[in-house]
Formats: sequence, structure tokens, C-alpha cells
Amino acid sequence: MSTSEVFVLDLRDGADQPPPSPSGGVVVLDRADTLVEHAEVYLGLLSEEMVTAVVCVAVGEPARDDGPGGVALTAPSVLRNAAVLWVGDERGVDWAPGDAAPRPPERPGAALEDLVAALRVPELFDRVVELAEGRSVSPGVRLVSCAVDPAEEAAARAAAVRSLCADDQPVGEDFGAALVEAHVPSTRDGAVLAGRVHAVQLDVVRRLNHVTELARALGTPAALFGTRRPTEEIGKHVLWAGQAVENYRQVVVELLDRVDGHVQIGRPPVEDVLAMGVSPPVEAAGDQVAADLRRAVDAQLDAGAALPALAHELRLLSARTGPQGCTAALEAARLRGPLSLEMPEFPRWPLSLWTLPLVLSCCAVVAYLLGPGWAGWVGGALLAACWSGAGWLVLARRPRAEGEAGAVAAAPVALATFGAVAAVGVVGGALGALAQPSPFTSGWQVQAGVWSAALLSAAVVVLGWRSAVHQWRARLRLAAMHDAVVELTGLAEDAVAGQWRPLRRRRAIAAAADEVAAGLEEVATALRGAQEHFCAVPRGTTVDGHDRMMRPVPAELYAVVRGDVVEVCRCALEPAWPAATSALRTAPGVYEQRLNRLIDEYTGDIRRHGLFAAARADRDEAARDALMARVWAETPAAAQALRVGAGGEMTQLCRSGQLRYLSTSAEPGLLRFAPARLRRVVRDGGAHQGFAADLAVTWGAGGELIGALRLLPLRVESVRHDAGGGE
Amino acid sequence: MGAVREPERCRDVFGVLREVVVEDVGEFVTPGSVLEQRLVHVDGALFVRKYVSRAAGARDPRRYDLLDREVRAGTRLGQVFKRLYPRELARLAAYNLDVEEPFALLHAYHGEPAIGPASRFAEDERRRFEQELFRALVLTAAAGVVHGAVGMEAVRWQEGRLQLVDFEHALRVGDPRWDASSPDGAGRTGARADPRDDVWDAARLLRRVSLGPHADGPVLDRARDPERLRVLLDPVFDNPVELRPRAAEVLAALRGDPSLPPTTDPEAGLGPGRALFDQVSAAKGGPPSPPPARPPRRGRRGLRLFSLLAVAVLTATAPFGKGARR
Repeated sequence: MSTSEVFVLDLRDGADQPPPSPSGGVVVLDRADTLVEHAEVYLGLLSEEMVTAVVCVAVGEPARDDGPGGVALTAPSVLRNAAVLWVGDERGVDWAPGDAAPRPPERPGAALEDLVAALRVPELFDRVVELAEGRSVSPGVRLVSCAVDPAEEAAARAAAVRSLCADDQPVGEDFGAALVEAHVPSTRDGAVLAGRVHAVQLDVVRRLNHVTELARALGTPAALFGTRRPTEEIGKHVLWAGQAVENYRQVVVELLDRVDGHVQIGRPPVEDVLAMGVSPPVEAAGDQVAADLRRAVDAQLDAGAALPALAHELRLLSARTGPQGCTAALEAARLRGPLSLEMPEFPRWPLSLWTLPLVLSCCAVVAYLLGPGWAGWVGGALLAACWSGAGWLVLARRPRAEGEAGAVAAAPVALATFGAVAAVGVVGGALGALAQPSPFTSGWQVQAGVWSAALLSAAVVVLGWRSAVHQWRARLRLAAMHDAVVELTGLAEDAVAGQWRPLRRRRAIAAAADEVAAGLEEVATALRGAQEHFCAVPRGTTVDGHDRMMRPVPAELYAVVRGDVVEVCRCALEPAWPAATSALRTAPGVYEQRLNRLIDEYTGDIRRHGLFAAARADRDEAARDALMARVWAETPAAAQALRVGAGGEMTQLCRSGQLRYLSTSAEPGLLRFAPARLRRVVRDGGAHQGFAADLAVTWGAGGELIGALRLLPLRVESVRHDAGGGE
Repeated sequence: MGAVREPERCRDVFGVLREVVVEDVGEFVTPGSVLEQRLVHVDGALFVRKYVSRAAGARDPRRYDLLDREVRAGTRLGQVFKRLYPRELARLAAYNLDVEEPFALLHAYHGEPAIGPASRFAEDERRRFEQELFRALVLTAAAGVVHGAVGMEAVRWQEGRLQLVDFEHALRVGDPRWDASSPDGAGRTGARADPRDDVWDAARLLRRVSLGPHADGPVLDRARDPERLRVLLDPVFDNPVELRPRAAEVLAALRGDPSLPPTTDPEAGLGPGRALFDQVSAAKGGPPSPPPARPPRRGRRGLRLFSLLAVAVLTATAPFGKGARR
């Protein structure tokens, strides 16, 4: 059974107590002279079903009564089948089997600590158990740490916190654009007005169209000769159309006022707005909004956005996407009125007075050509009558606001103008023919002259009326009224489509953005507050036993640390998302508490497992791989440590005088190991690709040690198993 | 150790002299106040005591002016609104400026400084805040008081209720500006204090509440302001004080409550006294007479016409004169 977790129990000087319910692999650190005393503890651990194996690391000299007869270690019988690693001396000696001259260690330091750290890696623990189970062995180590310099790590953390809390890092201006586009469409879907507004709109359009038709009919003969003449009723229809337009404006103002009031202050209630004939607001998908917003925020954080800047963008998003009301539209609609359609005055003389000389001439010519005699008088009188009748007719049909001018009122005017002038023309022509007869004697010449005068007169009458109608139509502001209706409809539809229909979605987005912004602000403030202890260098932490020279923080390290800090902030922000989904607010201080707890967890995690194996490394594998590649490249000793064989020189954890306890005949066990991340790195390139395929290397999921572990069995006579204790 | 109880002589907002027993409760701080403050008990009720200690006054004599402004504004507001004093404004109870450590007693404020809860306002709370803020300004304008330092530090908030406090930079409408008192000169374009000075400050505050503290930098970048704020605030920011909308207009746009509590004109009661003063002054020879009024323009125009006519007559008659001499 493979071990998933390794627990270290330090029994030296009573440092630790056995856990109540141990599980996984257990490394027991004990003093060599107290193994038998702790037999009960070992028995308890070995009999625990959840414990996969026990590795005992016995440290120190044997008990005085054991030596000097050749017994190095007295172990309780309960450990007979367990793996016992005897560390006669924590400093050890640099020694290779077969080499008779051990040397003081080149790098005296924490060889025992490194050994225990290596045993914490489950894969390595299992291999040690496999090789040393039922034996007592002396470990020799050659280890190189790929851990990051704590000072550099602290500097990177400080830089990451500064970057995340900076006030002057802008965020892309299109932040949230996709979110808004997805939830607040810019189309006019659902903006179609119905109910009261629509009814009024239809009425006004119908009335304006009717006026248009009447105005068009004015230019037709029906306007002069019909029984239901447009000239009779166009005045009142123009007035009614104007009133209808104003009525529509007032209804639109009422609609906008209600929409704006509800959006701004929640009054009037929704039902009152719906009563105006608009569709109800579409429902908001709070979970979808929160999910989309989360994606946008995560993308910004990954892109390097600072928390305050991101919070500001969210505030802007909230303010810009939240319900805006339609105050401007309402104001525009109010300023548009009052609207009215004026009835323009129809030309006072539909047949212009400039036609009077023509009337005179035509009548005179006809009377002259047909004269002298009764034919001239009769012909001229007929034409004069036609002219008078035409003048009277167009004057009588002249449309006004209250109806036609009327036949009775028009008769004296027509007779006084057209009739009188025509009569003068007839008399003049007839008298002229008496004084000097016409030179045109042939019949066709006379007929041509008469007909020309008659046709000319008719044409002038027709064109004169139509011209008057055209002039009048040009002054009728029907197009302006249509424009006003279109504009008012546009204002209403824009307000409905842009503000009313997506009201709940706008509110959902604004509430979610506000919540997340508040969370980010709180997290940023808490992060600034925690900077001092979060970014402090742990006391007494050195790498490989000596301080490295200070240098700028490597980019790979900064990327890893920043990613971790971002991840911590992201986790601290976690309560924002359910709150955003339900548009509820998180209590003040929640984010701060979470952040402080997460920072403690993270620093503890780093302290226990190292930066490479920290639990929050799931999002930034690539960054950690890059950092590992850099460390590997900067640490040539690591490759050498991985190449060492069982007979190579290692730091054997005993004194030179204790080497005699070690068996010279038994085959030593050799473990070469490295973090699995290194395998990925060397497999992808470089001069050490062979390591990746080396089956003899144990690749541990965690740990930051690279190197080799030699397990040299003790002579059989050097180990005594005490029958007491746990037996 | 029991709290210190001290009798104090002071005047209420109408100038009536009273003696009260003040019991110190503890320290009190508001972000918008420069003056020292203590919470005190007077007759079992809680008050804020603003004062200038001898040491602070020696260190910064300007504090006496600040307290004076607080008292002037407080008395004015108290006299205008009398019993139906609006909850939106801090209320002065008593003061004494004639002692070594002058002080003002204000009724305990409501709520907490808005700077805390404002960052977590929901939409409806924000709208409520906006309405309450401009309603407070409508009230100060009605009393003829310009707060002079409307900002996040000067407002308090409690369950949808706002209170405008710390009138230490206040002026009466029409007073000459005291530039040193203005925390921010922007938006104050006239020579005399105008209620619309406060409208500009309130508009800034409103932006801050909507867009967050980042939006309230030294230079207002309004390019990305939402439509609602642009419609509402552009007339405020884009116009000089004379053309700026009044608080009541902004409140109407915000659909706030425009009603005012009954007000009294404190000057109205002084009319008979002033008339009597004028009468007595006249009897004693009167106050220094004002400079003579400028002659009416009509008389001046008549003089000009007369002069022109005279010149014309002289010019016309000159040849006859010459001819006569010949």
C-alpha cells in the first residue's frame, strides 16, 4: 500500500506526543538509548491499522552498557520488522564504502533535518521502507536543496503585495464590456410599446395620415366639385391631429416619468409602469452574472491588475451598468412640448389677382373676334361668366380652420373682381369690333383665337388652384409632427429597451460588481496591513547553511510568488461570489478575516512543504516549472548528487569511529530521488534529459531535495533486540 | 473615579444666558472637525462639546475662527428652524465664546461617519444618500448658510438617514469668502459665498459615493462617468457658480422630498428695533449722512440737450451778427 502522507513524530526529549489517531506513514525520531523505553509507542503505532509503515530514526550513541562490545543499537523487539535508520552522529562524515579515510563533512549542517525532510516525501518513504524493512541501517546522504532563498522569497512577496495594492495600475477600459453585452443587449428587443401608449401612438399616426390624405385630395377636382369635399373638414382634422400629437407627447412623458421614478426611487410600483403598456422587465440570472463577472475578474488578476484598480473598475462598471434612469429622455420629451399643428392660412386669392389682366384680355379677345354683332356679345359674356364662376368657386372652396369660406361670402368678392374685369373686357372687345372689325375673316382663324382664349383661361384656373394648394401644403407642418412622433417613440423605446426591460439585470450586475469591489477593497486594505509579517524573512532561515548574496528577485520567483498571493486573495474573495449571485451583501470584515487566515495557512504551508509543493500551486504549474528550471540550472551540484552511486562519497550519518558497526558484506541500498516537477523540467529539454528516463530515480510529488540516500546495513552483531518492552 | 461635573454659563441659539452642568463622558472625534471635541452629558442628554483649549488656541489661533463659524452657522440654523429643527443638520444647543476656552454644545450626532458605510452602499442606499445630501443642502440654503466643506468627512449616516455636521468652515450667504477656510477652492468662482458652492462639493461627493474613492482625485476625470451622473452633474461641474443649479433643482432631479419645515426669518423681528434706532439716530443728528445721490439721468440728459441747443443757436445766429456789424 503506497503512503499518501507522512507524519513525523519526534520522541527525543519528549518533544512530541503520539497523535491520537495516526495515519499514513510515520517517521519516528528517537534517541538511540531510549528506543526500548518507547517500545509501547512503537507498538501502538505499528498496531494502528491506518498506519502504513513506521520508519524509526534512532539518533545518537548507544547506551553505555551496550558498548564497547560491538553493539551499536538496542531496539525493542517490536521494531524487529520495521525500518530502523540509525544516525550515530547528526553531523556525519564524508565517506565512501571501501575508502578507509573518512573526512569531516564538507558542508556541515542539517544532514539529519534533510534526511527527515526527504523522508516526508511519501514516495521516498515507501522506498526506504521497502529497502530497510526488518533491518537496521545507517543512512548516508548526498542532498542538494532546490528551495528558494527565504530572503529572496520574502522580497518577492513584498514586491507582489506592493504590485497588488498599487493605486496607479490601470485596468483595460473594456473591462466588463463582454459581461454587459451578454446581459444588457443594446438591441431594442422587447421595446415595442403596447397598451395605452401604443393606442395613443396609433391614433396620432392615423390622424396625421388622414390629414395627409385630405391635403393631397385638395389638389383634385373633388375638392372643388365633390359632395364630401376635403376643404370642408381639413381644418378641424388638422386641429385634432395637433392635439393628438400633444396628447401622445404627454403620454410618453408620463411613461418616461414612471420608468424614471421606478428606476430612481422605486416609485411608482412596477404595476403602474406596466399599465402604460410596456413589457415587464426581464429576469436576471444572478448565477450567470456572478460567473461571468468572476471570469472577468480572474482574467484581470491573472493579467496583473492591482486590487484597488480592479475595485475601481468594478465601481465604474456598477455605476455605468446600474440603472441609469431616463432623466435626459424625460427632459427632452418635456422640452419638446407643447406640440400643436397649426392650420396654415390658405392663399387669400387662390386665383391670383395677377390673372385679372388675363381675364380682361381673354374676354376682350373673344368679344372682338366674334363681333361685331350679337355673337361677340354672347361669346364674351359666356367667357366672362366662366371666369366669374371659377373665381367664385375657388374663393368659396378656400379651406379654413373652421371650414370652407362659403359660396355666399365668396359671391360678392368674385363678382367685384373677376366678374367686373371680365365684363369690362367684353364691353371693350365688343366696342372695338364695332369701331374696327376684326381682320381675321376666315372661320378657322376666329375659332382658333376663341378656343385659345378659352383654353388658356381654363388652364390658368386649374393651375392657379393647384398652385395655391401646393403653397398651403408646404406650410402645413405635417412632416415636423411625424418627426416629433418618431422622436418621442424613439425616446420611449430607448428608455424601455435600455433601462426598463433590463432593469433587473442591470441591478444584478451593479450589485455583483459593488460586492466584489467592496471585497477587493477590503482584501487590499487587509493585505497592506498584513504586509509586515507576511513579507518578513523567517528568523534563522538560510539556504544550504549560508546566506546567498542579495540580488534582484528572479522573474520566475516573482511570478510564482505573485501567483500565490493572487490565489490567496482570490480565495479570500470567495464569499463574494455567492453574495453576488444572490445580490446580498457580505458583512464587513469577512474578507479581512479570511485573508488573514489564508495568509497564515499559506505561510505555514510554505514552511512545511516549501514553495514548490505549496498547496496553492494548482493554478501556476508553468510558473513553478520555470522556477524549477532556473534553480536546476543554477545548481550544478544537484545533477552530481543525482548521479552518485552506492559506492560514491556521501555524508554517512555517524562518526568515523562508528563505521565499524556497518556491514562491509551486505549490499547497500541506494535511493536517488528528486521532485517530480524536476522530471518534467529535464524531460522538456536540456542536457539532463536522461534523468527523466532513469527508472532508478524516485520522483516525489513533494519535497525540495534532490540527491541520493544510501542505506548501509549494520552488522548483525551490532544490533540487539530487546525482548522486553512491547513484546 | 467619577466623571467631572462642572457648571458652565452659556447662551442658547437665541442668545439667552443659561447655566448648565456639564459632565464629561469621553473623547469624541469626527473626521471633518479640526476642533477638539468631547462627549458630555447635560441634564442626562448627550451632547458634543467643541472647544478650543488654551494650548491648542495658542498653537493655532485659527481655531477660534473655526469655532466662531460653527457657532454663527448653528445659531442661524437654530433661529431659522426653531422647534422643528431638521434632523439632517447638526444642531447647536448652546455656546460661550467669552471664556478662556470657548466652546459650543451640539446635540449628539446621529450615526457614524459616512466614510465607512459608504463604500458598501447598495444601490437603494446610494440613491437615498444622494437625496438626503441634497436635502440637507436645501435646508442650509433656506437658512442662508453655506457649509463650505461638504465632503465625506462632514456627513454621518445611520439607516438611511444622513446628517451634515461640522460647520467649521461655514459662511452666511453673501459673506466675503475666506479663502483660507475653503478646503478646496475649486467650484468657488464668485467673490461672495453662495449656497451653490456647497452644490459643487456635494456633486463631488456624489461621484465619490458612486464611483469609489479613486474617482475623487485632485483633477476630476469625468470622461467615463455613467450617463446618470453626467445628466445630473454636468450642469454643476460645467457652470460657474451663478449658472450652477441650486440644491433644490438637483434634489428635484433626484426625486427627493422638496418640502421644507416651517422657517422663521430671524431678521424680521429686528425691524421695529432698527426703525427705532434710525429714529433715535435722526433725533441725535443722525448717523453720518450718505453721499448725495447721483442726479437723475433725465436731468443730465436735459442739460446736454440744452447745451447742444445753445451751441446750435449761437452757430446759426453768428452770420447775422457779422452781417449786422458790417
